[in-house]
Amino acid sequence: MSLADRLQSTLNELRSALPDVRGCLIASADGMLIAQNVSSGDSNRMAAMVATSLGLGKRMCEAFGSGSLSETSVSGDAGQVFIYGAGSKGVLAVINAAGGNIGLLHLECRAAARKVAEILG
Amino acid sequence: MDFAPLKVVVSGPVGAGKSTYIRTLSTTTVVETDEMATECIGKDLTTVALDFGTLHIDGFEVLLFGTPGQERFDFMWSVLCEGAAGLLLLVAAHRPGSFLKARHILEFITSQVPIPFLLAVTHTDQERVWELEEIADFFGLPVTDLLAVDARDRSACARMLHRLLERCLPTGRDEQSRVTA
Repeated sequence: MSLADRLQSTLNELRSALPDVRGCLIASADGMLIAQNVSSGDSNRMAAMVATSLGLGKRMCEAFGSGSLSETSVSGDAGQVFIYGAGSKGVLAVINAAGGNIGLLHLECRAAARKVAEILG
Repeated sequence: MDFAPLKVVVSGPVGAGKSTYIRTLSTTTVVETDEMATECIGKDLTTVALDFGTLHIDGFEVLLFGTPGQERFDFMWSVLCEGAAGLLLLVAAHRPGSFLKARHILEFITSQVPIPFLLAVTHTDQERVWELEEIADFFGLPVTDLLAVDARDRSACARMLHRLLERCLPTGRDEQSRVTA
């Protein structure tokens, strides 16, 4: 399977495992879209935004003595975005509807982020 | 002297020298959010969120906010320009291919927040560079809106900032640029 196919199937599996998830994407740390399974919205723009958020989060962890960043999230009243570092090169973002099983979501997404990190090498 | 800190945004296309400019001037540890670049942009790292540095000049505390250069990060241009007193737009004189992008950034920002700005022309020590007058023509600006600056040269960077502050504060203050560490 090609690199792109493996990343895509990781996203597809994530979406079928988590019905409340409205979309997920993988971007490079510098904000280029690598793969996506997003129902609506401009995924290129989302990729840049999650890279910005991750980049800022990394420096916040450094500044606040919190070690190296593993994940960050943004919550609105109609949903959340969870952003997971995937190795040094990538980032996985998952857009979730409000509510849902956050525990299960984190479990699945952290595993997916590790997989993405492995694939990206 | 007790003035509120002034926020100055440093923007411009990729590779113009924004991060270098802030590193050169800041007297506090610079917050940098550089990540490995996956595109071929002539350098290994690129800013994805912001650069942040501070200094005192002319009796003012100045907060420098550097933006990412790529258009895909244009939301950060808006975020960082909120409440800004002035804008320094860095343009690399040896990369005419980036001038259009620079003009786009300038129009994007000044159409949202009409703030005073100056064009800082960098990399003028390279071969085959555009002259200040030619760049001014391209941007449709008076040549007095442009200043050549070596982003690695602290006093040149401070002079540039001093010139911008004169525009932000039209009443003017002392002529001599003073940078206190």
